[in-house]
Amino acid sequence: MSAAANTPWSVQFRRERQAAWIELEDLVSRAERSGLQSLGAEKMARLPVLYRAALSSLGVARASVLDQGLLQHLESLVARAYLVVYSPKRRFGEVLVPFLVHGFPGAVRSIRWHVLASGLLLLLGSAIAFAMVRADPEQYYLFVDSGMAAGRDPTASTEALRATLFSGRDDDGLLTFATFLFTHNSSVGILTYGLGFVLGLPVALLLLYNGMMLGAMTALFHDRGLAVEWWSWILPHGVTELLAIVLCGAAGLAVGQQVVFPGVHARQHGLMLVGRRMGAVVAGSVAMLLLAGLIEGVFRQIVHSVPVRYTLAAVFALLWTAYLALSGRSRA
Amino acid sequence: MSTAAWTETVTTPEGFELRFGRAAASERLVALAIDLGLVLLAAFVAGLVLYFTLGVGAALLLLFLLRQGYFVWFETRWNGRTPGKRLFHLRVVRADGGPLTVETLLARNLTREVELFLPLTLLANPDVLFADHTGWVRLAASLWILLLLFFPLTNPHRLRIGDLLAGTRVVVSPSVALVRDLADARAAAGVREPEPLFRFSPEMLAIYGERELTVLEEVLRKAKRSADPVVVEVARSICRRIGWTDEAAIGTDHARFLRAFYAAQRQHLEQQLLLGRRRLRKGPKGRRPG
Repeated sequence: MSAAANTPWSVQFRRERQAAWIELEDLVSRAERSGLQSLGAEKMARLPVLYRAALSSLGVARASVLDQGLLQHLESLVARAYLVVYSPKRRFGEVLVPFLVHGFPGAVRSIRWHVLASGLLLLLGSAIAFAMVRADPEQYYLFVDSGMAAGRDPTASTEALRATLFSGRDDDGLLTFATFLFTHNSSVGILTYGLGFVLGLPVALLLLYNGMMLGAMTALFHDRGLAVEWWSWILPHGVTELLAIVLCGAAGLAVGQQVVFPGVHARQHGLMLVGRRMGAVVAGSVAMLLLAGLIEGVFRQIVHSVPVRYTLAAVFALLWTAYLALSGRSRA
Repeated sequence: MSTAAWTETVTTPEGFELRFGRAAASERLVALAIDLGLVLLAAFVAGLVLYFTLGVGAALLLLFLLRQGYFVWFETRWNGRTPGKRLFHLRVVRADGGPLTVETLLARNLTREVELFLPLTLLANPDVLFADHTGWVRLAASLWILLLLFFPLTNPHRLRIGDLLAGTRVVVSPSVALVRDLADARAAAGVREPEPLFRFSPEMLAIYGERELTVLEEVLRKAKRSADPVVVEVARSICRRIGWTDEAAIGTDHARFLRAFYAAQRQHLEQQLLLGRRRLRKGPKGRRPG
């Protein structure tokens, strides 16, 4: 070392590595501004090399360099470079295909017992309301408020009730109606996932309540001998929509369970493991609700044949079961 | 950010522990307000345009997409940043050091429905939530919902519920420019290494520790001119402490003396560090095994 007696060794340390740091900072700034792709193949290949060199420089500097100006620059440079090197995949296809093939169905399979519990809660709600309304039609108003009922209440004539099952709205309103249903249901589904954090209780209540609305309406139509037509009205989209609601509920229950009973993991670590998978379940459910909204808003208003409606419902039930149970199995 | 507290650590896949500053709750709040402002603005403008061109359905869909998609979209595209976060150099990182995935970002942002939009609805228009409930039910539910809003203030990492579920942290990652090395005499004087102007004995250098060195570095970096009163005062007090008597050698250029002392002191402490001896600060308690 040619430095004079009172030149710190870190001066030489910096002189030897400075050029690489400056080159790295240039690449990082460019990637931060306009994306990793803008660097080009050659520079992109340099990035990890320079990043690892800076990483090791920082390791040495932390242990034995006392120049705060240098230390703070290196800390910030390495942090920024790390964030550029390990940036998320951004291309649509890179994300969507794996998600659909194994991300979503895999996440659903990982909570199959919660899905069962969530489905049972929905059924339980329906059964309770069904029995109560069959016994006393006045109870109907307990479960369905007038806004949701839209004229479908015990005072309506049987003919009027039948008409609600086969009415076609004007074409202009169809898509609007479908969109409204989709956004409303999705918001409820997303809300359900978040509510899981507050111990999961509101999730169970929400599922019971949704089931009760369904059960009460079912009882009303059964009373008037419209059971077959009622189910043909509900099921084509209901198979998809109710399944999505059940999945969101299951996600909420799984989160709630993790909060209350963390099991083998530390609570925070376990929450993270469950949370990420449940985010996938909810996102997939939102896609299902979009489909359900389209069926409900468009298909159901156009097709009035009862057998066709049942066929479609059966096809969807089969497709969803097969997809969620089998897709991406080999990757798991 | 001279004395930034590196309080969030993230272990990279290489096994290296990175240090970030923790984002303050106030900064996150302002960043959030900016983002929400942008969402509202976009919703208002684009919503009106769509309402009059494609109809109310398209406008509804857009509102939904903005509300649920704004944060996920930007944090995916900009690697953990939104326009609001960018202003304050805030970023979302994974606590376990892996790259952010869309699943992670969905997990952390879908909870906003519960911890942000639900409380905001409550504050703006409680009647939407409790159509026909009054009194105690309303009070209890309101308190409970508002608790969700203040959840980040209940833990030291300032985690939202979404951060907990996604395993993410919000950190500050500013870019710090590389400043000149104060001890590099060649950088100041030219290509050749100049002869040292002052010679300090080992006893003189054995007094101060790393903390005093850091303060000295700060003083020198902040000094605008060599006759800065702070520089003069610090130089005098160091002279007294180390027993430097050659006032004539210092002359009027106190900054030159301080720079020389800084270089010598740093050289001494760094050499001790290489030998595994660490001196954190002056006094008998400053000595720690390195």
